[in-house]
Amino acid sequence: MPRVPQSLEPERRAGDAGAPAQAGPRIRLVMTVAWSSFLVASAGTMVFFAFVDPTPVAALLTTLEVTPSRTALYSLGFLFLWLLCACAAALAAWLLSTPPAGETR
Amino acid sequence: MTPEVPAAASAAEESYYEAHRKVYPREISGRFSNLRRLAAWILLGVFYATPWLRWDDRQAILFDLPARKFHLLGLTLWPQDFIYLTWLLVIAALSLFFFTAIGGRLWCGYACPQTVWTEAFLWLEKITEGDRAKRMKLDASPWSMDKLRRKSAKQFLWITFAAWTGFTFVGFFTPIHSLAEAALRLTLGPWETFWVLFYGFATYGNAGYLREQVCKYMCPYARFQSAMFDKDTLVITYDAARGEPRGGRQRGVDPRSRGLGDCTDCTLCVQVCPTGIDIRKGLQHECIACAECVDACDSVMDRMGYPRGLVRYATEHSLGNQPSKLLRPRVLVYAALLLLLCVGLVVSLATRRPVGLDAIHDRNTLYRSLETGEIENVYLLKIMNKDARPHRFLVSVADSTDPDDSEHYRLAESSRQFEVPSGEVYNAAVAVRRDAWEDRDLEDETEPAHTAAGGSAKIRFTITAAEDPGLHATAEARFFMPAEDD
Repeated sequence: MPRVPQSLEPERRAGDAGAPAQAGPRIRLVMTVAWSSFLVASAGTMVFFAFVDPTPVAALLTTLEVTPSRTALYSLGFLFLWLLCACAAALAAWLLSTPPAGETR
Repeated sequence: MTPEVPAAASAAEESYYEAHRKVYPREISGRFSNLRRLAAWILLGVFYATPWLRWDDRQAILFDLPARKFHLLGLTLWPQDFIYLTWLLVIAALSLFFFTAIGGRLWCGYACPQTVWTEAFLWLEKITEGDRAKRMKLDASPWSMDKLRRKSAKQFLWITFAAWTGFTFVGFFTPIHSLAEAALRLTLGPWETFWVLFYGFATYGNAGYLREQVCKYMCPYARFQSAMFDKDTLVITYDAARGEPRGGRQRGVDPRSRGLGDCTDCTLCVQVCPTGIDIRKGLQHECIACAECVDACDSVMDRMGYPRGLVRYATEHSLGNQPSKLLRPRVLVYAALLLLLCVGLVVSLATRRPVGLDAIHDRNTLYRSLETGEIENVYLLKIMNKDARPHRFLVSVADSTDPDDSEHYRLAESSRQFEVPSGEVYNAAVAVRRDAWEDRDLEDETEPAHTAAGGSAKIRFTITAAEDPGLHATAEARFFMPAEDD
């Protein structure tokens, strides 16, 4: 008979004593918001900068002596878009999590 | 970086999503895991080597974001060619649908970066911490010099590998040779540093810690892939009719005499699973179709002297003893669309005009009457040279209804030719002159421009590369004149 290790490993069993407490729904919410907005912001950045070269725009808008490099402008654009998308995702999540009016009355 | 904190090292690793048990996948060798390992080596090799390949004195594959141009071997794409990138993405998505309909989650099991890098990180874990049993023992044991040594070695390898991955990733978007030079001299720009660290950290976290949780909680494809499935799609299944009732038995004993099926309940299929599921419970959404359990079960079946395939690639139809069809409407539609798009892409790339022209009339002045009696209009010509080398373009202008007529419209001396560097949009101010209406009326009663409403006529600009007459483009514009009775 093939020598195979013990039966189901203890770590596979549900409801084991000493299992860590469930991570809070808040952390899960934060991760979901961050991740979904990251995906959308990545796609958005690609499409936006395919059509817009940020260098002349930045030169018009800033009073800096040296216009920032494209890499910097792309990066800032992406981070800004990420923040924006995260706001939308967070708002959506918050509105969804608010209990219906019937329950709070 | 310091070794893992004890909390993370405990068997019960904390997850962001739910009470999560760290999965310790057992290594197994067999047909499918060999195939998977081969795929992982090839894909990692392609990823790390590609940015270093050269083509005509430049990087062969470079999505040069700072310069706003993409080099793909001999092809150079500009922002105006964005359509091709979209096209490629649509082809990629459709290929994913096509292969999912036929072979199930082949992408997940063999090609997904998450799977491939997790494999690589698991391998680094194995060479520092040992096999599955040793890793579990090590994590459960209290801190010791040996544990510290092994954990530090693992972290060192992980972090080095992740940093190299981040560097390579940035090397796809900014020339990797200068990037490497800057990195060695420690003069890497702030944003390059940021992205190397960002991508490196993402690799480290996803492949080192999150692993199967990415597939379970974060992957959009995992959520919609079942929409491409039908009863003829290959999935990994446990043949319950053959396996049940499961139970231990001695080798050589006829299971039927004990009232048992072929499953020895050795749980090897569970131990090798990177997502920690039991395939015997049926198809589950966590299954990434890596086929490790197929190899594990086959190895047991071999040792027991039973036929292989208790856990195998099968279709729902074949399990129900019905014939499986490869060519079905869904597959044919995906294949036809895919073929159409691929052929279209090749044709359109092959016939792509590497030069473009736009003509914009000067916004401030409609026309100007010269002392010579001529009327002058000024235009802005936007000449796009999408070719890989610079060109000198010769400009010509003619009446658009009569392209052979090259006499009525004349270009000013300074407006006849322009040098345009490779990949640039050159803004050329061009002055076009012609005689006033009165003179022309006397000459030719059928002058086409004469009939134009509002004192304007259509003209056509043509640019032609001086050394390559095949390279040309045209653009139309309006030529304005004072009204005849002015």
